[in-house]
Amino acid sequence: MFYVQSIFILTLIGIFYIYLCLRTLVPQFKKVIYPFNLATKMALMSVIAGFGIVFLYEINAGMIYFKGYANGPSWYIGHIFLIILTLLVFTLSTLLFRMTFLFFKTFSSQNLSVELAKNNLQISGLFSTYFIILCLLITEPMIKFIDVIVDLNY
Amino acid sequence: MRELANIILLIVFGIFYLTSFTKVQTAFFNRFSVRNNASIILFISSILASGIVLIDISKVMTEAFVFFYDHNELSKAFIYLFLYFVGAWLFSWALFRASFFLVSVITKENEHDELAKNNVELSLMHGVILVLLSFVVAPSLSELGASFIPYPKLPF
Repeated sequence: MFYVQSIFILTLIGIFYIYLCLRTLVPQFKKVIYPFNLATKMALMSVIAGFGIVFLYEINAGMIYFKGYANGPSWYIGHIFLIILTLLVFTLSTLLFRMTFLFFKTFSSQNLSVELAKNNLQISGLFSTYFIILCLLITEPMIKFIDVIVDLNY
Repeated sequence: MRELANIILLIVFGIFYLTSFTKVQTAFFNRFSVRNNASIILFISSILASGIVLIDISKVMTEAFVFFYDHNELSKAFIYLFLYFVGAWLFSWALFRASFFLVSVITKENEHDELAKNNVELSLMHGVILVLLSFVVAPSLSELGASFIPYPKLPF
């Protein structure tokens, strides 16, 4: 029963997360240029991949708590916890995306939006690499931090 | 508090690492007169490879920070973090330069000329070699780094 329950909730949460990502990110990139050029498409895909990396880490950590509650009488707490964790992680990913945008603006002499509109593949590739590296760098400590907060209230 | 401080430090070090490495690589690639697809692929691969090293070493950085934070030795924590950062940076740079030598031995081509001629196949191969080498060597570098953390010796 637990496996069916976890497959069901993970599918729903996964679809919800991807939907949320697309609803937030696509309008951001549409502001740069629409229809998308190759550079913008590449940046968008890598940002979605970055969001996905953060989500994968989160699900691995969240499932530990989910398992803990799944077979007990208060099984719904596990579900609620997973949903809250997903929303929290989505907010943190968005913050990371904004931060990468800001840091790129500050440290690079080029304007990212203008360069993406000009189909500058180098700048797009650089931004994509930065975002994915920062996601991989920050996610694990971030999940540990959330773990500590949850453990305090467990 | 400890975890939050670690996240902030990792963000600061990460941004500084990526920015400084990009600046050095940009200066290196500016020596090629033309900026074409081949040189862009190699440029991005080199940044990616340096990022892989950073991600691996960041686990050791976290371990060192937590260890010294728990022992109330914040100055040592910062020194260790900084040394790991410098070590990873220099290693990434050395790996990039060594990969140039490796590719020239494997292919018997003058890579500078080939990049100027926009030889995408060669730059893709170089990029893949660089990223793979980073994946293979970075864990050993992290283990080496972790061996410098003065953990108490266990009697068994």
